[in-house]
Amino acid sequence: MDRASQVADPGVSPPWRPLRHYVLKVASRCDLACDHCYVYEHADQSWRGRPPLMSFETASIAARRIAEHAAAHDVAQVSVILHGGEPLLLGPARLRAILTELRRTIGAVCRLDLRMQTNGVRLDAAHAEALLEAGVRVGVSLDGDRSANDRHRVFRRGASSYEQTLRGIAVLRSAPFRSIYAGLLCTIDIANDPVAVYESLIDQNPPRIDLLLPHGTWEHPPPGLEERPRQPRPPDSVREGVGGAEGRPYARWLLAVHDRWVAEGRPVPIRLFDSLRALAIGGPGGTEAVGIDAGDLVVIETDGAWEEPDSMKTTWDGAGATGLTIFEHSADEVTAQPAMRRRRGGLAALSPACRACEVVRQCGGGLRAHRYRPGSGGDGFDNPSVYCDDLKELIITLNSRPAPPSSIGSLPADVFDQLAYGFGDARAIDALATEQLAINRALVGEVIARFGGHGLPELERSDPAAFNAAIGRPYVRAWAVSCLTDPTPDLDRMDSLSVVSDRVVSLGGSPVEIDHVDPHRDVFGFPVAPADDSPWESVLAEAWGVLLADAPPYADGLRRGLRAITPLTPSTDGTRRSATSRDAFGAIGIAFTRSPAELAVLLVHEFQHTKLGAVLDLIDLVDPNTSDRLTVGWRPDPRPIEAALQGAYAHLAIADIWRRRSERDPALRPRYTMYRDWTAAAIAALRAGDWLTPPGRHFTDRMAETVDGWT
Amino acid sequence: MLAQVENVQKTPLDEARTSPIDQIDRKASAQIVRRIVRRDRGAVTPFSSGI
Repeated sequence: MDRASQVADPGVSPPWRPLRHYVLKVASRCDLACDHCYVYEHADQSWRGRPPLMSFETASIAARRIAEHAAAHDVAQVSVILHGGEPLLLGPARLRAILTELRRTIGAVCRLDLRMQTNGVRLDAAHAEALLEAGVRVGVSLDGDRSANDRHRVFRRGASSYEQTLRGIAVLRSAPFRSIYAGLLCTIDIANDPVAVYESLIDQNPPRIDLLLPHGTWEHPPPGLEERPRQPRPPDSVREGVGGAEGRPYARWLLAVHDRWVAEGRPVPIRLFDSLRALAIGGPGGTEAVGIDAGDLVVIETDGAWEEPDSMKTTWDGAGATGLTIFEHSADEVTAQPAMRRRRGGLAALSPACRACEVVRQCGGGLRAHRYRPGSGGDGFDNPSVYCDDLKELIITLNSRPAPPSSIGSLPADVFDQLAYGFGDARAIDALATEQLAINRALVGEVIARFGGHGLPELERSDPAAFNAAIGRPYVRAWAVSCLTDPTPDLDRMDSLSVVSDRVVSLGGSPVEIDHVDPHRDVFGFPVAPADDSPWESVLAEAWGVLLADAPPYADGLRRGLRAITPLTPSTDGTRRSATSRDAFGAIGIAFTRSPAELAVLLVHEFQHTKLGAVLDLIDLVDPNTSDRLTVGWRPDPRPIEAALQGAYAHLAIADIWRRRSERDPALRPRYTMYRDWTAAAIAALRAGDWLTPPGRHFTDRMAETVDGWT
Repeated sequence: MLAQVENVQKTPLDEARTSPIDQIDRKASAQIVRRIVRRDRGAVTPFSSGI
């Protein structure tokens, strides 16, 4: 079987899924005449026959269609993006009326994320007031500094729009309206200096930057790709390429931005880079531009027509039309349209070349419109993107970028990101365990150098695997650290490092010692319990079932990494007791509980500390020189920054568990929201100060993304 | 060739991982020991709660 057919069966029906993102074209005209605009300057000219502005009545019916679809399919949140043309051509009064109607109608059935994309030219305090009242987050289109922006974003007679746009952005940056400033959207022109463009965007202090590839097709290639062969080459030839990096000018441009962005500590999210990184580790794409999970976005034009996403306007006149309108057709009917079904087709809807490509899950074939080549068979979209070479080089290069700096070791960048989102699968735990073993080896090596080997070097030479198994045991580090710091080192311990507890239980099929014997297990700050016959086996077996139901993103890593449980003496006041130690990777101290549900929470909570502690062994996330403290929800006393980070990381997982439990039992929602709000507040406080290192900012940004995705 | 960036520099932990336990470069192990055996931050994360 070839690779393409292994990846997907094109005959499989695409899954049905409700629409969640609606682009509402409230204006079909614009006050600028940007020559790279796909609405006016590309193949589709349908704007000419549409009303200049959406009427209140049309907006009202659109709101009802969106609401009925959300209610029918129990959609928790939809986003509506006011778009154009230029949406601010509505003026403040009409804008306010439409926004109020959207909030009233859609907000009655689900949460509504309202957004607007504008050129910013007309954005003044009056408009901003209306947008603030309705809670609309506003993105502004800006292509860089004055010279870069003037290259395309001009008025009809060629005058610059730069000053007006900056004035509009200044309104959003001012204190009253800062909360509705969503970010900047920059359409790439490879003639502009990438670093100068990046720096000029950063100067506007945006919460987020979007970098948009200019629309083009194989028939009408984007600037700089005109000389590229007019038909896709087999994917394997992309690696060899033609013309080297010069043949992939968009990759080169984007990588220049990426390098500067990384060098500056990733000061703001850049959606394309973040999406590609997230997709590499199975996370959300967050954009239709890359990834293969698109298909829940639709456009409503000023005349009430349902349409496919705007990028289709670059293909041919009339492209994107569904033939349906909000006056006669429901959103359910739109989702059944062949074009919309194809958008949900995932891998199966891509060309064979894409399906066989190593980076397809990140690239996703790029935007559907960019695959268009008339006469190529079928509907003309069965091709890789016209940006295929650039996207592939960009993705492969980003994937190979080194991880955050560590003074002693390394962690793959994708593992770092996965852990930063709060999770960590078996591979991530293996990566941490590999570095932890090396740490133990260095510590034990230092003990041997200072005090002699007691036969350990000979043991390694005779059976290196058994030696590493012994050195990698959880409390070896605690013992080695005590040897290097205590005046009376326990050197006899070297003779029995491989001795294991005779009580081994199972967690999801993986062995876990119930450790009553290791002489260096007393590292948890609570007294260890004497050996007893507490039924750990049965409670852990049930707890595993709880983990699979309540904490699936954490279960696999926990099973891989948990090697030993040291029973602690129970508290006298009935509270649960558990702990971890930086000097005991893979071990958790827990006072026995008969409740599998409680044990599951304790295990996940403590293993979060284990994971983060292992990251901190390698990479400073907090400035080591800070002595500041933060107030957190879960404790009355202000905490050191690193302790606050540890707490937030653990509570992120606890909140996630109660989130799932509350979805089954709504009575539990207050408990979930309490943990969620504690976590969110702590992450916000951590990000607000200047005590995080660049990797620490990156890490907490990812944590925030996870929490922001919860309802 | 595609542009690829690889971190080929051997880290102290690489040295600890690949050298025999009694032949680990002392400079590398000292660097690791110095980072791990620090008493300037909490090593234990105790938790006591009603969950």
